[in-house]
Amino acid sequence: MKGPVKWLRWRGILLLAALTPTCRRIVQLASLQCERPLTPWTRLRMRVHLRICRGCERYLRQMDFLRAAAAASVERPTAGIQGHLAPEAKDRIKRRLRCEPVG
Amino acid sequence: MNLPPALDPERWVDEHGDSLFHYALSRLRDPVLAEDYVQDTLLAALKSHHRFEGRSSERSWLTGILKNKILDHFRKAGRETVFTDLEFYGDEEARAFDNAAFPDHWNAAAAPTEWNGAGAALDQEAFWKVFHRCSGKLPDRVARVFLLREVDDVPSDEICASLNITPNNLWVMLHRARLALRRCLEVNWFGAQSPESDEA
Repeated sequence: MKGPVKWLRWRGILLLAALTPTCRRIVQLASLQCERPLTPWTRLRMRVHLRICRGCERYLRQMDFLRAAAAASVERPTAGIQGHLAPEAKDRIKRRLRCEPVG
Repeated sequence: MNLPPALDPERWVDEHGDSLFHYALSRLRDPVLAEDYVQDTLLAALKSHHRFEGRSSERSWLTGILKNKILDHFRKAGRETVFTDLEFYGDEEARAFDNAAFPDHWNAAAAPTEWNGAGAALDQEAFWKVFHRCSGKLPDRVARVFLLREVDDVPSDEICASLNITPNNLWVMLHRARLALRRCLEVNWFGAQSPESDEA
């Protein structure tokens, strides 16, 4: 590629980088967009940023994963970590339930 | 024929007791209180069992009752709790974007790494141990909003009303929870082979 064309292209990339939000901001926007819609302009700048920044692109993919994991975690109580209802506690509750008139 | 199983609340204790207790404990973080809420839930279920139509599983029906009871609890307690844990993991954000050459861009050592085998992780028991350990490390209030928002899918405005916090408070806490959980999972699960695993 000829020198001036290459130079122009680099200028373009640097300009884009300067125009898009910082990584810190992108990461905040990723959280914000779950709460309220972002403006089209912000979304566009975000998309451009994600095309050139691998760290942020990974971060957003990991947030999708985190959301899926959180949603799935209801079904996955893990043994031994949070503790189980002790047998005595189960007996206590059963005894209490027996005293209750059925509605 | 899909007849509902005979009403047997003691079976609920055996079949769903652990799951409900785990749910309550992960949100209330107090075993005594959690047990109380499991009991309250089953008592309430006993009173309203005729309203259970079998459209959802028995467990999600019971979990739904428990969820509302816990939300009520937060609603009552919300006004008394002192706000102290907002500073939590503020340093994670500072660390992640500590970059001298390009301020507020990723620090090379803290930038997200590629998570290999993320899809398969959800099927692994060991992953869930790490996940629960990580979310267990979040400060109470932060964990509470994260679980309500991401696990129970409670709308933001409802959380704000229940916990008596502003939308901005909520947003900051959710954001910090995500940063912290991401970091914790990366260190303790996805990068477990790397030497930097001191944050368990």
